[in-house]
Amino acid sequence: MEGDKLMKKVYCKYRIVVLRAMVLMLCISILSGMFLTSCNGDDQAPDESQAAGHDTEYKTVEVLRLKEDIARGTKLTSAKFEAVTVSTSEAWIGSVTNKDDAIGKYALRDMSAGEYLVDIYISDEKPSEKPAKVVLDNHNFGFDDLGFIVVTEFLTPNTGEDLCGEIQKLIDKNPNKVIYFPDGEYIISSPIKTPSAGSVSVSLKLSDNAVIKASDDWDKTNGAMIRLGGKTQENNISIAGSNYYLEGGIIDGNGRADGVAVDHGRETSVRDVTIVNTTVGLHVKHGANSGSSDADIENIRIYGNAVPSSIGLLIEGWDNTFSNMRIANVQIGVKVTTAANLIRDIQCTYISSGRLNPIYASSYGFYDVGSRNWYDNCSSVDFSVGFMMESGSSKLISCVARWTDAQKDCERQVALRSSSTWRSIARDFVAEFSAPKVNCEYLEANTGGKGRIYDPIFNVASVNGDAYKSYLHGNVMWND
Amino acid sequence: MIGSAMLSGCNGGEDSTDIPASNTEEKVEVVRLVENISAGIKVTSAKVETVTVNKADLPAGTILKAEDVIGKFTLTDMYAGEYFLPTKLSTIKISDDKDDDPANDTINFADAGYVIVSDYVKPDLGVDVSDDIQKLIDENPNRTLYFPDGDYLLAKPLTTSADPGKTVSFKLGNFAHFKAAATWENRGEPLLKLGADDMEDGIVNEGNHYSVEGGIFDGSNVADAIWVMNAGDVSLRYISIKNAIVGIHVQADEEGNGPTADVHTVNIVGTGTLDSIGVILDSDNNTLTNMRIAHNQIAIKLTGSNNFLRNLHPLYTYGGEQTKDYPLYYNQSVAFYDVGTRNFYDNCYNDQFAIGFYMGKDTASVYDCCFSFWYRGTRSGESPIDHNVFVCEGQFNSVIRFTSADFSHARPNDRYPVASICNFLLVGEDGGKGTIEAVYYNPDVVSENDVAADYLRDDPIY
Repeated sequence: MEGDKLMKKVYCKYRIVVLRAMVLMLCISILSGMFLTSCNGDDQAPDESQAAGHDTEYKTVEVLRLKEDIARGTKLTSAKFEAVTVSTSEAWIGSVTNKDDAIGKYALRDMSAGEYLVDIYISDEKPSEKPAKVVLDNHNFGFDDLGFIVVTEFLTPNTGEDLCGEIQKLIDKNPNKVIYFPDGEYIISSPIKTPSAGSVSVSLKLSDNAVIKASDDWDKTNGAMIRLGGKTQENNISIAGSNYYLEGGIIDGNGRADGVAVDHGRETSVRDVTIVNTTVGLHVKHGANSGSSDADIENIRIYGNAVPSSIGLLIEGWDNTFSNMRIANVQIGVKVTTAANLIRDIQCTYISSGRLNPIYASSYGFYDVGSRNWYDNCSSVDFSVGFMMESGSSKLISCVARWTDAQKDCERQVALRSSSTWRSIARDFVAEFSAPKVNCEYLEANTGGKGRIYDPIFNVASVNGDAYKSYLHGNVMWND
Repeated sequence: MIGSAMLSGCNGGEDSTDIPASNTEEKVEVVRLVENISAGIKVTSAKVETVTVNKADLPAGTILKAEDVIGKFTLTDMYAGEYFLPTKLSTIKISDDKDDDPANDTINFADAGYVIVSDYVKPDLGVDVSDDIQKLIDENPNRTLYFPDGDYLLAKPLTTSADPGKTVSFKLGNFAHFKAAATWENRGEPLLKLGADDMEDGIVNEGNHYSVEGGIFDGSNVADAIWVMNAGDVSLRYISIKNAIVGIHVQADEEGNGPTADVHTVNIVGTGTLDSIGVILDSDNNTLTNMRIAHNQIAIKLTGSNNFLRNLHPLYTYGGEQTKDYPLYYNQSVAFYDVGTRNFYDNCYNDQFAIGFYMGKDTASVYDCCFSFWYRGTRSGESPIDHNVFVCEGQFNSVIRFTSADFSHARPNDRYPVASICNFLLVGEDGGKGTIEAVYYNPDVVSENDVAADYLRDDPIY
């Protein structure tokens, strides 16, 4: 084991030092006018035009050079190398000069004929059978050590070329692997789909500045760019691999695409993702288990494309949890059509913009057409209606609707609304208005519902109507 | 062997600015580096200078103008004094090997101190690797062991030390799969015993806090998954537990002293046997958040106190031993079985268990914004099944508020036409100081044994 550790150190050192050595050689060759002399010491003649006039008074040294290709783990014998005299500038750092220092030792990596023997390439101990993964042109940040499939080893970002086919191929060919995207821009022209079947599922892990972006010719009927559980579908949480995730990075809809969809599967995790310029940022669809998606979504930022009908988070499955999200630049922050979802620590902010201004009156921070959902510490900022609870009986605990945009002083500001009677429970619900009293309502709903409002927090002098009174339990609290 | 010192001066160091004498005297301005930079680095104006040299001394193709190099990325390591050739630059960044530039440090996990287990233990071979992994644990105190994706078969438990000087953390790839082998030695033993060896506690000690993160712990229906034994503060997160008799067991000694665990985003699937429990908390002051637990007879069992449970979702699933002689064992299934006290439940949502929340004789806990739901009622020809939201063994001394129940009661004309036995609260003894406030359920369908009305602060909403 100590030998293995030593080898790892040697490899790391080797990677750096060899790279340096090659650059040094290149540099030396340039300065000496021998630019075209190859690094492995072959006998290609220098270009006369470049060599002309250069000082050629170099010291020489005898080094050992391989006569044949050898594989990692090969034992060195005298027949495999020869002694050659080269200038010191041609020799590599650490070149072995004494054949007794080489004979009987083992190659720590594959080597080619003509290559000089260097001390860090050889060892007294035979290396393990594990193939050397270290390569000079290394883009993998070390993540391959963790078993990740590092996509930049197979494709090149930042080219502007459509990469969806290559990415999809990596997903399809690497079941039960984490597919890692280093920083860079990855353009796709159609959705990337991952399986929900546990035996072939993958996780997608993006570096903080890895951007998956919809192409300029993205077809708006494609739906979401990343469709988790979008292929090879299965509803089985008992097998290994049924839990997978999308983590990190930036999903850029380029103003035309939806962001991320949970198409199928159960217990899907989406976390630490930024979604921008999308019509629908995150869409959790009708789940695999009789409607239950059981998705766990946390630490998400969504910035929409400000078109009418744009939605930050669209929930059409059951039994999901959403926590720590910030949503902005959409007509509707969060829309829920189902039940038993926990929505916690989510802030939705309306952005006054040219495209959203005409539809301000129908902008909602939270729009619930389902029932029995929980909203805990959720905040609506500057939407016309903070929480539109269409008809169901959900719970709002310590939530807030507030207005800070002076441009909306002449517009309606409604903290809670139902199109029929109020059937939900709001506890410790805070409202802060910026418009004149005539435009502001704490609750807009018919009377006679079974909902309740416990201990609301707002300035009664700042609202026009008193629909809240028929649902009031406790006292209205406000401290100027 | 040739030392690097022999080559100094050739790498663009101090002497490199002295271009060798040339036969021509034609001069030219050329841009060159003023500092060493690594491959993948963006060239900025601060990194270059323009100097005058003999034109004949420059390699063919040398880039002369600063504006032609600034903003481009190096394709190889370069050194102070070096000139730019087109082959050394790119408009796009394609190399990230930036080991030499501290400002551009990237993570290399092996170098960062992780012990990459697959460097020493081969997964996916279908053989028991418990001894090999145990050796790594024992030989790497206070290190993080990283398990890349793959199957790691275990025939016996792995054990770690509670001694702060010997603890280790585990980090698993999402598809790193600990699995009990067919040769698993003792049914009910766990795949991993944290803090099993040595007996030292004290949260002030370095090494007392450690974690298990990621991966799959598969008990193969014969093993438990993780026991937390004599350790201090342990974090378990982003773990998938499958087919485990007991998913997580945080243990305590006879006096109730034990470790504290923070469990976050851990999903558990049990064995469907009568002894299958998702989580057992015998110690105090643990926190469980964001968990989904399925296929157990009891989802969570607490014997300690001051535990905080938030956003937990136990799901009763049909099939296996727990549904034989139906509904005999079904009616004994419990989502949250609390025989401790002063535990806090927040947004805990149980699905289809016969009993949502069970309280022992001395239990005085707080249930806030919880939910019991039954998706399946009683079919024709079946004995009525139980739908009990709260069952209290003794007097009721807890606080229930903003909590909902949705019974699957008799629904004529559907597949569950027979009335189930529904109760919001059953107690073993009358009395107690518990309260119920702002709850949702249908009072018209609860049985005559239901006593919730005795503790209601206000009418239930339905």
